[in-house]
Amino acid sequence: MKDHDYEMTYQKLASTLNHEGLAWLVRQVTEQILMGKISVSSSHDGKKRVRKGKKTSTGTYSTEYTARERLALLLAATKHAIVDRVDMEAKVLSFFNETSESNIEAIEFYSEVEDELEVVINQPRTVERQAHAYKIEEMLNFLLEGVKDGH
Amino acid sequence: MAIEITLLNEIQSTLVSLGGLITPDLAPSSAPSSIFEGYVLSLVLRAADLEGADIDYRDVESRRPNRFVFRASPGYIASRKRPYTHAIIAFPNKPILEAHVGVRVAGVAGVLHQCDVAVMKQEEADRCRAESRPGQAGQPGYWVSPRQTELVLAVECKFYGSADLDLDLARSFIGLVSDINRPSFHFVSSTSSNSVETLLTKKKKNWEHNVVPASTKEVTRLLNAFQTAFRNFKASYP
Repeated sequence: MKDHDYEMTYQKLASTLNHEGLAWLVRQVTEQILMGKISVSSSHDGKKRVRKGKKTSTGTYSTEYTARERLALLLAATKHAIVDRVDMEAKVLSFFNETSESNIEAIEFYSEVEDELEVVINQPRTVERQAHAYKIEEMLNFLLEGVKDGH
Repeated sequence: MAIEITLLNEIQSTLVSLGGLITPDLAPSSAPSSIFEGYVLSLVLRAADLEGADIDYRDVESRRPNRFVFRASPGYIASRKRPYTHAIIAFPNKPILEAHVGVRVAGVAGVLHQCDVAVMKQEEADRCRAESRPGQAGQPGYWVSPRQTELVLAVECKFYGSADLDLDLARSFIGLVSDINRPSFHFVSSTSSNSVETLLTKKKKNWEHNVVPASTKEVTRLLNAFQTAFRNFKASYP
């Protein structure tokens, strides 16, 4: 795949995520892409090495992500936001059920700022969400493999 | 070339299917911080359990709930607006502790900060509940917050979608720790960031990254850190 193909796939995935309510995720990944990969160079005893008329800089610098890397970032972030989140839900529910003397009907997270119920976790919903999330994970893994192999 | 075109077609049709599978239920409109805080609370309680504590749950009216209600925005420990749940941690022959999600805590400077997960002595929680007064007709509400000196363990939780945490989060945490000056105050995130980790390490702050169920090594390390906090608590009451 060429850079153009990676870029096109990135745009399609970003558009899908924006459409499906995950614009905050696309924004976070965009911020990371704009920042670039940060590195701190070692200065070899603090002396600057001079090579053929060019000074080697020391200090912190940023390298831009390639088109392939950008796509891989967005795929990994999507997997994290959906699959890891559902796994955490399941762990929370199972732990509280295990340690509570009463049978837990649901776990609710309430925001007083918005005055609304933000999240509800219960057994049937978590099981359904996990099933969906794992199908999504399969697709994301397929896409990640395609990016990794770099056909 | 033919392989590339086939792969591209497969990718495109996968993306279309993906869109159909991401339901509103699976796609929160903002980062799922609440669930992450609930998950970190469960790790704190598991660490207490590993250290020999009995765990129980109560709401603000001291009833044992069968619907657990947690805060998704900062609140006062004595608030009766909802039957918020907290955990009771009881080590044999030691003062009883309570673990709360999203309560405000008074720092050294007297400023109120939100603690994503806070473990404190029950005596302090009881004092706040006894001295607080909800608003009534003609009388404004009056809320007392726990003092940071009474915290046994505190956690700042950050669920981040992207693999590179915003450095602002680390800067905020460093500021927070300067006012909630407890040895066992941890910065815990669901992803990682070289910049954040470098900064927190240089500043000698407790942190852990990639804390998700699939990351066994990081979760175990965090459990050990929480266990150390509880071990030290027990040792301070011989």
